[in-house]
Amino acid sequence: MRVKVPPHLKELWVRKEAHAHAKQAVLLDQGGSEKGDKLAMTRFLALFILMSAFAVSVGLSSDHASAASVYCDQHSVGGTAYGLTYKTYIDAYGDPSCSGSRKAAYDYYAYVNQNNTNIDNDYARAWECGTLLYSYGPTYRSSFGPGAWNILWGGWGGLNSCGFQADLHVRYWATGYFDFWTYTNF
Amino acid sequence: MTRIWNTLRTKRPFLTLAVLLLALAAATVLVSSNVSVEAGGSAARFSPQDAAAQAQVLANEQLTQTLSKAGSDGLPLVQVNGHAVRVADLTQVELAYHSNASSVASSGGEIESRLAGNYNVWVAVWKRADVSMRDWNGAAGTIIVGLVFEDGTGRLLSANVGRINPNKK
Repeated sequence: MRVKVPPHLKELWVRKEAHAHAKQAVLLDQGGSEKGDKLAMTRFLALFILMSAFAVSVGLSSDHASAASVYCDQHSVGGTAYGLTYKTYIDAYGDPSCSGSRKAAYDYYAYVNQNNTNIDNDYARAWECGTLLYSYGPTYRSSFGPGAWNILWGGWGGLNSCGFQADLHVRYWATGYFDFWTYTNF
Repeated sequence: MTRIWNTLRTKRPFLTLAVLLLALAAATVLVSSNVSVEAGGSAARFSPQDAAAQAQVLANEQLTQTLSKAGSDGLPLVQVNGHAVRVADLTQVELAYHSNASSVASSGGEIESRLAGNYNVWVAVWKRADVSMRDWNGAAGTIIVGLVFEDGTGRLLSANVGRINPNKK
């Protein structure tokens, strides 16, 4: 059975429907805004985590820092020939640690396994970022050895902010037997 | 491609940025790992010819400061064929590349060196036996030159230059 709706009631019904749709639209907008906030927060957190991961990866790819220690490293050179053994070395120290802008120190050593060896310390030098701090030598020692680690010179070398920089040139000799020069570049 | 990029950029800006950051982080890690692999790998920056040429330059410099310098009589300490000894008078017995090394030694023990850190280095050794030593009353001596220098830069790290009388102990 069909009922004929009067025009004024039909218009009222249309307005009511429109109002209901508008109300729903407002509710949807409010709900969408809350969801948008959550989404934005999630995106922000995701970006933060990614950027942190990026920073960590960059940090990992950088040079490793040296472990804190007073004794830092050694550079040595030596040789053996026909029963003769000799060795020259530089020990590097940092105070209070080995890395960064720390005070640096060097000990210059020589060793030989033969009696009555002469030693000429031609020079023992150190630099700070390319600037010469000292050049010790030449000095001479006779009746050197055998078998002992003999310190030739020890000195503070400023800062090691550019890394340790030192070298040593030593001559071991016994007339008619041997004559060797060693050069050590730390 | 441009269309996809524009769509991503306008409709998914956060996702696009996140993917780019992730790719950048991954690339950074890959590059850093490649650098360390190269430093520890076997590829030398010097060719053997480059290394030999650099070794000769360094050896002659060291000889000038040692066996070739003037003695108390004004003459070179060691002469070969009437001139101050040069590396060309010696026989090269070793030229070896060592990668990522903290200590190196020649096969005959002519030079041994501990390095402050890890280096890519070349070890070079020359010798010559039976050289008459004027200041040793003509006794025959063996000349030894050993070097350790950095690959690529040629920087001298260690040197050992001298002479020994094999018949005297």
